[in-house]
Amino acid sequence: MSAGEVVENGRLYNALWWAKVQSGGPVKVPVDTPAVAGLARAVEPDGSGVWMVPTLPDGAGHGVLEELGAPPVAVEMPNETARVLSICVACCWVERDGPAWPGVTGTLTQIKAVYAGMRGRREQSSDLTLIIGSLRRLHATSWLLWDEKVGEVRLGPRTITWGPSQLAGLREVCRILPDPPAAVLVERKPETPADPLPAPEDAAPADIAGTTAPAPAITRSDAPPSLTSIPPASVTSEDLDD
Amino acid sequence: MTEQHALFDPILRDLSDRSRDEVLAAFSAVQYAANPVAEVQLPGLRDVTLRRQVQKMLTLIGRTLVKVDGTHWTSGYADDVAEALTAQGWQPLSAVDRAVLVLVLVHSVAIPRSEGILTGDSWKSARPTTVDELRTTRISGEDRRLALQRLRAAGLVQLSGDHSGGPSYIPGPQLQRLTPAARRRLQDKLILAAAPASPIAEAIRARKGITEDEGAA
Repeated sequence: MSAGEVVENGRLYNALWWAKVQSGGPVKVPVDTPAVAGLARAVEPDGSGVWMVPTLPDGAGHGVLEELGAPPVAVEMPNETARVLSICVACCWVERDGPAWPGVTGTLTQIKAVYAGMRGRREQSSDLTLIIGSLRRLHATSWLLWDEKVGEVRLGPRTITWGPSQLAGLREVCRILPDPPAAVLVERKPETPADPLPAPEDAAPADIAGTTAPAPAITRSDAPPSLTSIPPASVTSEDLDD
Repeated sequence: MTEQHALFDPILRDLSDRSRDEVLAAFSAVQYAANPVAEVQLPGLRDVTLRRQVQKMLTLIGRTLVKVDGTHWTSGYADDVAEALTAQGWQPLSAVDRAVLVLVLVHSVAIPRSEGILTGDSWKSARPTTVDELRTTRISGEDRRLALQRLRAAGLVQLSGDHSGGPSYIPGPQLQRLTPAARRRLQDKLILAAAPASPIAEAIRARKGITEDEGAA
């Protein structure tokens, strides 16, 4: 849409953006994109863009559905998915006096360790299937940004909508969960190499190397449309939108 | 004190607390419930004046009320907004997801409708599409499985209750969000794709003023 059309028809501009974030989930756009009424802006820490995230007035949302006995579209494995989200919050939200977004990068190694600790036992190979499935569901609904190639995760842009009361509840969840081990991130080549010499191919930390090749049964999926797809409500994720 | 909302406050601020609650409950129900909600259940839908406020809220976000079976309501994308987004090339579903969804719609709705088993223009159907019917050489088994996962999460397909011959699928509840015009567009597109040389396809092209080549595109 051209700038002229925006000025001529601000209402249509808002409606089209809202339709996009309802059908495709939060959208990442250039930082100079004009604001849209009712859409929160979650700025990427590296300034690479800003996510447009829908917000609702107090009293609207999934909360009323339970009273009505009208359930939202079901989330598959809701308990497991909620557990993995809480673990990722514990790994990625380290400055717990402030907002959750953008947080820091966590790793699959951390998630597996906390998951096993929460279960009160050693890590098991079957954990990975459950964890990866949950990470994919949470990525698809923008609660997490999950990079399956390198086994790293960040909190997703939807977390910008968490208010003080939700953050207080999450602080308590983080207190109960086992502390995650320190994150060992995949080394990324700088865009403009400081050193002209080629980097050794096996530069990635050893413990991460194993996480890049999950169980053979699980292959990487492209980021699916949010459920949240047709209707905003996709996943009961609001509670965890659409 | 309720926090203001930049988009909806101009509508909500003039309502009494009770009306505001009823409008927001109805708005949330039609937006987020998986299935259409009964009009009788919600004052925000039952009362014409309040329902008008719900419609105003939906219009602001590109959506509209859709009546289902004469007694229930849900929401869907407004036709002008869907048309504008389509013209911009907006498409949140991948080609594989769309292909699998179309196969379910063909087997569960289009074929039974052509046989006279299903009547009306709804895309709701209890006729299951089996995994065998979804097999095609163009989509690998793994891609199909992942597409079905995403389509189920989006409510676009759902598992059929009939497991006698293995898992099978029917259209999901989100198909009920299609407006009458969107239902007709979908039906026209399926006919143009599946039977481009048929008399009914010719009638669709004549109504839309397009040629056979354009219709196939």
